[in-house]
Amino acid sequence: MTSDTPIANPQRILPAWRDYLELTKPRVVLLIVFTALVGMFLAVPGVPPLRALLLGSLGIWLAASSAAVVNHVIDQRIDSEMARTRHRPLPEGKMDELRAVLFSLVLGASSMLLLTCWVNALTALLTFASLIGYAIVYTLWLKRATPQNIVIGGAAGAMPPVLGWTTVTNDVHANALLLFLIVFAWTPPHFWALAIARREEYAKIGMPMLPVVYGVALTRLHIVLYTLILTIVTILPVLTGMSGLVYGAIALVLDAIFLWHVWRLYRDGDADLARPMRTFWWSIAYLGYLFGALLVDHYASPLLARL
Amino acid sequence: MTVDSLVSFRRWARFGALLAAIVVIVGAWVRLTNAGLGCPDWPGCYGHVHPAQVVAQVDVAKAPYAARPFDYQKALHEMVHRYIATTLGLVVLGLAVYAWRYRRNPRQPTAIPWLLPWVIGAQGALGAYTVTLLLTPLVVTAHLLGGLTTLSLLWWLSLTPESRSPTAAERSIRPLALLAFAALLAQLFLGGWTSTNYAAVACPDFPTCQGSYHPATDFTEAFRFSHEAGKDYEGGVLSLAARTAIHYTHRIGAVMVGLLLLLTGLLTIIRARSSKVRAAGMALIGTVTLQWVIGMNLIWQGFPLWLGTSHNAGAVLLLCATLLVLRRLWPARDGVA
Repeated sequence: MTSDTPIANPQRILPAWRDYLELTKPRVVLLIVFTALVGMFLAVPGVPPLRALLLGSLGIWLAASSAAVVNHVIDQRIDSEMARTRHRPLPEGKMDELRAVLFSLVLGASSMLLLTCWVNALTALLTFASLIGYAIVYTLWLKRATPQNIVIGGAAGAMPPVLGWTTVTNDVHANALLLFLIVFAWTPPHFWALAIARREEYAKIGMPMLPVVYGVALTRLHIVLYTLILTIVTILPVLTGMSGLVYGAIALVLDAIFLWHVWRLYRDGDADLARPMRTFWWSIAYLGYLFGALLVDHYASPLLARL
Repeated sequence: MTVDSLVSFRRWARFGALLAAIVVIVGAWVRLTNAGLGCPDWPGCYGHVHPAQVVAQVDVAKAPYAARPFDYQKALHEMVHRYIATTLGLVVLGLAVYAWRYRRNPRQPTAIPWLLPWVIGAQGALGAYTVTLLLTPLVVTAHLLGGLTTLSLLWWLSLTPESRSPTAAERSIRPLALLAFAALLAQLFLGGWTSTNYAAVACPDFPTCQGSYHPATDFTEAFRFSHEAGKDYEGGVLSLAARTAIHYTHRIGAVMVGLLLLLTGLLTIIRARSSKVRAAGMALIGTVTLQWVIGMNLIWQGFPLWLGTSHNAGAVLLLCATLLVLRRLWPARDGVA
């Protein structure tokens, strides 16, 4: 008798907590909360106040989870037609729509309550705008409307570091916008790598992703160009003095690897079928490492400068 | 190939667990030498990597809480703790990358290795708050428990699960073992709470406290978890009655938790079907006894530093022995190491 006996059963009445957890896209949300945390730590010299750190990350985590659940609800029909998403709780019938909607409302409301009452109104407002931006503007409309969907929609995904920043300072600093810019420039090459790999599925459900509408060759070119933009953007923190050379050195190495990936993607074309997905996975690691470097640099650079 | 990767992974985890134990014990030594505020800033010490670089006149005046005089020895203690902890952070990151590389091997654990960098990150932050919140007991105790969590996870990863299923007799110990483990966690919290509130000296005698079995106590004040901003908690702020209540609770806990663990150890030895399981039971009995002996002697000998540090080391061993018993009672599920 071990804990793995009850296998997911579509016929059961109550969804298991795992289904609820899956609705919140815990792995994506973890990366989001991490970028927000980095925003908090970069907002002030030394360490941010413990209260803001705990309540802020909880509020942002709840909001991001809420947006993820809305995404699952809205996309359940197309999810059921794509191999990658067919096993999500809603298309599988492990979760019904009403419960999912209520769950997202509870998550969103508690996030707003927490941020408004115990963090600050600015953070609550910006978080709300990002939530609506992702869950409604992007998922419901942009995604199906234009091949530029993820470029524009990326703005919502780029907000968490700003939200983290305002949690601590109650003010949108130019450096916070720099963090926004990094994630904003990162999203297109990240997402288009996936879109190339999944283009047939996207075409099947009629999603106007860039490779579906304008072809894979143009998408590859766009990926290269956006990665070049990303490289420039990631050097800006050093130029503005927000970050030091520790970050600068790591960022350059990460950028070089990213550029190598996208160059291979561009040059090899369809000769290497695994390349798009490899680029996609690298882009995720890239963002984690880059923000990790920002965090380490915030503390390491001032110390090393005095060695 | 896959077997080799797992063996090597466990070896690194074992090294990490050893390092984590050292970080925890050195951390206790920092606390006991009153060096927790040896560096009033974080992560540097008066803005430097090493306390020897601190120029007393220049740096100290600029530092926060400049009223606190610079003490090279204390600063060194604090920084040694931070150096070793940073090394541990690198090992933990390495394990996470390792687990990612071999994630396709169904026997490669991934959840704990990927959780650990977060735990370490939180520990770094708690270490910073320990300093900036001027040794608030709840934060310092949380920092200790976070360190023990890191150690536990690494130790758990380093243990090779048995391939055979446990016998019915062995399985029957599970509920008791879990109960004893939960009780041990509570007792570890109480131990940290005793130290961070400087409550050990409230009872300088044993088995009596202040010559009595019914000393004056104040439990409400003893377990109030709020804190005042900007207040310096070094040396403790609670009344004698509150400290007595904390110390006394830890003592009662020591008897009850110790007996629970002894019973678990005894049953494990009696019902074990293999020498490995039996050895775990013996380790548990041995560490409980050791921790009792250290605890009593700590009081009788007037709280010498080496015994205080040993009491922390004893707790580390006790925790590891308990986890060893649990690991032996829960062998690997199919496909999950």
